[in-house]
Amino acid sequence: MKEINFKDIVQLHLEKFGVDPVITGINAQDSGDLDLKILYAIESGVPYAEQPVPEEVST
Amino acid sequence: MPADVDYVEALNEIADRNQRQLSEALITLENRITDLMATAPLKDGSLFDLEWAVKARADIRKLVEDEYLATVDDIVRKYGGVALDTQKMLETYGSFTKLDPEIIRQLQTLEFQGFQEVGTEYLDVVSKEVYQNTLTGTSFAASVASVKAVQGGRLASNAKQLVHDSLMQFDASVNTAIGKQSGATKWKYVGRIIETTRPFCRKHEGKTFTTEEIQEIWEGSWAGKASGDPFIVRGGYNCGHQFRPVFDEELDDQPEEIQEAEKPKADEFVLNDEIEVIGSSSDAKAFESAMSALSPLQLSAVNKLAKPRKVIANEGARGQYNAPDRSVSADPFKRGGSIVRHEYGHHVDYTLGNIFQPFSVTDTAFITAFDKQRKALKFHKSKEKFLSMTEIKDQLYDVKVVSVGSRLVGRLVIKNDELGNYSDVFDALSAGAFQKNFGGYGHGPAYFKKKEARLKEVFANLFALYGSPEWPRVKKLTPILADAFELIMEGI
Repeated sequence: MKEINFKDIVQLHLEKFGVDPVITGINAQDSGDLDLKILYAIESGVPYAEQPVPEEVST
Repeated sequence: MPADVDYVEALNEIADRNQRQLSEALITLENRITDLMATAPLKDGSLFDLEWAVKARADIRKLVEDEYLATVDDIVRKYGGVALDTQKMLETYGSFTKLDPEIIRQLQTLEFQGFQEVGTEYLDVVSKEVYQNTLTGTSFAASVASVKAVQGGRLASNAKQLVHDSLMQFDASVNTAIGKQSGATKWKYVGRIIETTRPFCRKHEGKTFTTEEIQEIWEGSWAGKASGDPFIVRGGYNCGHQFRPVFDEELDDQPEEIQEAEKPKADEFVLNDEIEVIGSSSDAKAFESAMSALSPLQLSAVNKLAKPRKVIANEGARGQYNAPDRSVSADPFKRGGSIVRHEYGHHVDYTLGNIFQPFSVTDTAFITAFDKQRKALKFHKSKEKFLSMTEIKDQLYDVKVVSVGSRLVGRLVIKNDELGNYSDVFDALSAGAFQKNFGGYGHGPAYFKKKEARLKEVFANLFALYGSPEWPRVKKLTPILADAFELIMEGI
């Protein structure tokens, strides 16, 4: 079985949904498992899309 | 309250009124420019008529004159009364010579010219935006939005800051000129401490210095310092303090100054009663504990600066800082408290600057260090960037192969909690390319599209890393940034 990495996971998302995962930075402090979150989105059939970051907010 | 402190307070109130007057004028100007844009010929809902766009510049100029320049003219004309009040205030402390009205008039002209320059910049930027939108056939709605963004952005905040600094600097010029003409060689630093008062001003407020001492002290570096004559620029941008000339006779009459032992506890962080805390008492304690892991120098700085208004510390709290609300949100139990220190770093950054512009995006030394560090890492050269990022990634992360469903995934696992913040430093320096290539801790390209976001996050990350065992690594891998940040911390 071929080992995949983060870029491969993003590519799988693109192939499945036709769009890249939407990473806004709102969850930056929890981004250590971003790869798993995107994989979960692929498995569950719902594209990965983070909320927009409000203008007055820094994360 | 002493006459000088009363006076400086009244001066700050006038400056606030002037800011409000200008804000209202800028809103009217914005609305009138929107009305003007509504007269643009449209094709399929988009701008297209370049002839109209060229002519619009003259109309915009007229609007700028009617709304902005007329307002600042009204504001600056009132400076004459301020000069008279300065003279009256000084007379309560001794016999001072009167300033030539011609000098006052010239000072007013100089201040007005400063506003004119901002007006010209405003006209250029807005006209260019209208022309470009017409050239590229931007839809009417998008054009209105982009012009509003230009108007309401940096130009508006520059004008508002200028209107405050203009009055304070005008008064400083009058004050200093009267003092020097009268032969004063000593000067008292006068004002009142408010939430946003800089540490530099807190330290020197109420003290009397000789001219030479002022020149020497003002050679130092501190957050928000403005370049120029110390008597005029005082504590820096938006400073509400003034120098008042003092004669020896006045000093002889004064009782010896009692130094108040205002020593914040240097070894711990406390969420005081003035802070609204969302979370249980154990959440609050965990937050305090996370903050108390900062270095003694940082804790001393944090205890000197204004605290946040609100701390959200409950389980699952999203890591973020809201500048207008002065609200820090972080789950203190995650990542060894390093998220708390990161988000509080944003608070320090905004406290050293202001709610519109944090210190990190305006401080030339910090911005220069950021740019130099990026180049030193070869992040500016597309060919070498990836190799450089890969080497860094290997120092921050281990690779762990795990099965996820039917897939075998080579996952990046951060070597320790503190390094999550350091990973984000490289993501910022690479404008999001670090996370885009490898995943892991970062904000990504969309967030880091604007350079301001990169600078802010680097500041917050370095604040979190400064007191940690990882700081030697920061100094080794990113020495330019580390040195610049150490200077900032030492200057608070």
